[in-house]
Amino acid sequence: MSVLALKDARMELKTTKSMKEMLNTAASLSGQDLTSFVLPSAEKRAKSVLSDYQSLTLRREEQVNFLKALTNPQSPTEALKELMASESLVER
Amino acid sequence: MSDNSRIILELYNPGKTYNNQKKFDCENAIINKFVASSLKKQVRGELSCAFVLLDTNDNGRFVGFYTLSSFSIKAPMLTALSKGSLPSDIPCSRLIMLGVDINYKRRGLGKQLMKSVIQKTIAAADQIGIYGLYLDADEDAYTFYDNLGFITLQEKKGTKPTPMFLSIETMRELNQA
Repeated sequence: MSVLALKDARMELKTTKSMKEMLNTAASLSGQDLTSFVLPSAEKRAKSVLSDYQSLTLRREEQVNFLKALTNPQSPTEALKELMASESLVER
Repeated sequence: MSDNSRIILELYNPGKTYNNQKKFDCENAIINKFVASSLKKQVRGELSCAFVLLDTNDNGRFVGFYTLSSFSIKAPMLTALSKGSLPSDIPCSRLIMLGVDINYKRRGLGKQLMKSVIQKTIAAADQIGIYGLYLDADEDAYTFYDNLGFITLQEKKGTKPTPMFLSIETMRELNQA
């Protein structure tokens, strides 16, 4: 979040007294107010959850295996054949 | 196997109240909590779509469900490796969650839901061109998906679920019927 971004919304969070104290202490030790202390961690976590929800990035050797699966797809297994030959659910 | 003829599948409507949705119990605490308090929000927010299994013999009781979303597998080297025939972001459908109520276990409903997931994926591929089905398999479901031919995209690390993929070509081969 940019320093100049207008803060036009409020959030209320419920917690325990001791947790609030701990966060306050840690915030003042690092020279920040509670908001600037708490929000960046929450933002980082939110971004990671959103990105995991939408995509997966493969590492080098995993990409080679993935390419094989895409260009040379295996024949259906017995279990898959059986599944697809079984009765379908009635849909409305 | 019990009679499943009164069990029907329908597209989940977040505006509708389903009998027993809040008490749905598939023996997985995370999924139960999701069904009770997040399913409606997630579908309303268009983060996923859901299909639900209802028992028409018991006032349309909510007895099972699955959620699907769009997903992409990012493989930056793929375009070069395939000499330009593949994009580096591979669009897929993603099976997020699937569950059947404990009172309706051992009737093959979980498998029937899985068949439906594959059929929906094939239908989506016919419309918008996706390359397959992606899911994160929990340890106890890994063998089931492995037997169906899903490949492991990333080796398992610790307690995290395993990312798995089934190619659309493999699914299509069986859908001529």
